[in-house]
Amino acid sequence: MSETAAIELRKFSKWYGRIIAVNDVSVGIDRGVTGLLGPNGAGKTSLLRCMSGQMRPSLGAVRILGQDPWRNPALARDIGLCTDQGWLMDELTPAELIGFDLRLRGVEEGKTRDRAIEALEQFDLGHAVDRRINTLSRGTRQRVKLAQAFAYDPEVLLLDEPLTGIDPVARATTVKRIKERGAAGRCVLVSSHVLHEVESMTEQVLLLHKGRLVAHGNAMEIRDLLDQHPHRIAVECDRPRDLARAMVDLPSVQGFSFPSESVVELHTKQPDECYAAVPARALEANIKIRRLTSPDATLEMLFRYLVGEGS
Amino acid sequence: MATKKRIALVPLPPLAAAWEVTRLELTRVVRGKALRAAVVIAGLLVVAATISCLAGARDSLATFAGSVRSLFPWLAIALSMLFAARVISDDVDAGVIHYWFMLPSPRWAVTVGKYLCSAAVVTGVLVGSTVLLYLGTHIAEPGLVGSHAGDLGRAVLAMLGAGLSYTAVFLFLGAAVADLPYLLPLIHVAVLEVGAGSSPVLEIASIRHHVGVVLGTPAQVAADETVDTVLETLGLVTPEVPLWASLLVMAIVFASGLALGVIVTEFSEYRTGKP
Repeated sequence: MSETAAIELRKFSKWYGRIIAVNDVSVGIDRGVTGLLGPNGAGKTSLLRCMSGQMRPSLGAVRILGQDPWRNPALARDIGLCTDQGWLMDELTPAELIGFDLRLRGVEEGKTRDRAIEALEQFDLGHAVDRRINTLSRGTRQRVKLAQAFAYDPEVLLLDEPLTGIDPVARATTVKRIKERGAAGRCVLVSSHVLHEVESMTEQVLLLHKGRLVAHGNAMEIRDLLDQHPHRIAVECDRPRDLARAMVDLPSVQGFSFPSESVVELHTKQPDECYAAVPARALEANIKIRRLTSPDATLEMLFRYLVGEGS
Repeated sequence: MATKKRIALVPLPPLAAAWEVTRLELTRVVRGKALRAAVVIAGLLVVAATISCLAGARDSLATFAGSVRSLFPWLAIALSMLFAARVISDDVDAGVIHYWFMLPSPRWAVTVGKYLCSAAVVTGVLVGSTVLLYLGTHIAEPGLVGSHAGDLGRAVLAMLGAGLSYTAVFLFLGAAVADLPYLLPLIHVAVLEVGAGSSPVLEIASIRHHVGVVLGTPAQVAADETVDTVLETLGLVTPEVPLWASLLVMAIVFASGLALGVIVTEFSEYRTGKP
């Protein structure tokens, strides 16, 4: 564990009654952007809530910039939090909400509106400044939360599923802003259950599964593990057996199965090659593909693979 | 990694933060539907009393005093339920509670700020309705407006006391069981305001009784003459309470309700949505 870690967890556990949300996690998180990856229910939100001082650890300790965050308003000015749920007050406008936040943080009353607009414009929300929050789309609301968390430039940013509901163009801006903060020396922890989302922001990841920290390291290594993981690619088409025949000579394909009359599943350890080959072979054999899906290219499957629960 | 220097800001002191919270909450309440509903209900009461007075059923002062004593304590209870009991639970439901508790101000300042907003709205509607009721019931006898001003003053004082104490108690009770914010306030009303408030001697435990004392017309619980004699023989008579004592009771209820509300929110972990 780094001695300069901005966030530090020591034998941290959190439970609700008989449900264990996070179990015995010890880790130090340095400045820069770090991904907190885990399938739904892994304990990411509980971890972030304890880090942000919303909840107490059931056991162990959380330290943010060396301090306990529970009921610590002095530390709250150095922490920015963005969650994918709730948070916004529908009756207000984004400028009012962020302006109020800035006012409490010590910005002069006459300057809060300008600073709020500046923060909103960082996320291309100039059009939403004076609109009531309850009239905004889900993606816009999410960006308002991000603008609020970024507005006062906190030392530690805790972002829980920050890209939820955001359209692709706004995603690019959001990812850029997150990376900028990381490059400026802030500690940014981004939780997600989507690997490629986190990959676009950082190489440093923590993997959480069923409340336990199962890995801590480089995203590329995780990607390699994912690639070694046996994949199934389901192809729904008009002649599944003919498609299997057309692909049988491909070295990347290890086997086939036919879960239904119209679907063939390809078994492979090189999914990228397979994804590239399927349309070409189907075209050659004049087979019409209706749908191409991957039943197990999810983080949940990767975790099951990592902890030895999957095949 | 190069760390870009931040501009250090000094957060507002807790009391100033509480005032900012009150202002923001007032903005939310003014834009919400609950205030409109409260104003309509209070307005209907005023209009009904005015019509009854114009119909000549009773004189101006009797209509005013009777309406304030019999209706307004219940209006105070209803408004406090509406604006104070759900102060914390609404924010828990909407996930906004995490926003409040991420501010660089102590939780108590946030709770006090939210209380001040609820109390301002409740007492504002109560006092406004009282004044309108006074003017409405004197519409047929405008010459008496000045001579009954003392009764108006006592009524305003009673409504201020009722508003401040009920909102403090209901804020605490609503925050204590945020999942069911009306549960404890309803039990409080059933046990203390309806049950005890309608019983000899025990009525002294209800805020409603003390509101009556401040109004100058305590709602003494009366049974028939025989029962009254028996109760008197047994010594079961509601003691007379001076005005200052009732004001003191309401002040104690207000202070303890607010203090308990602050303690509950200070140490609670509010879970919203997913774990």
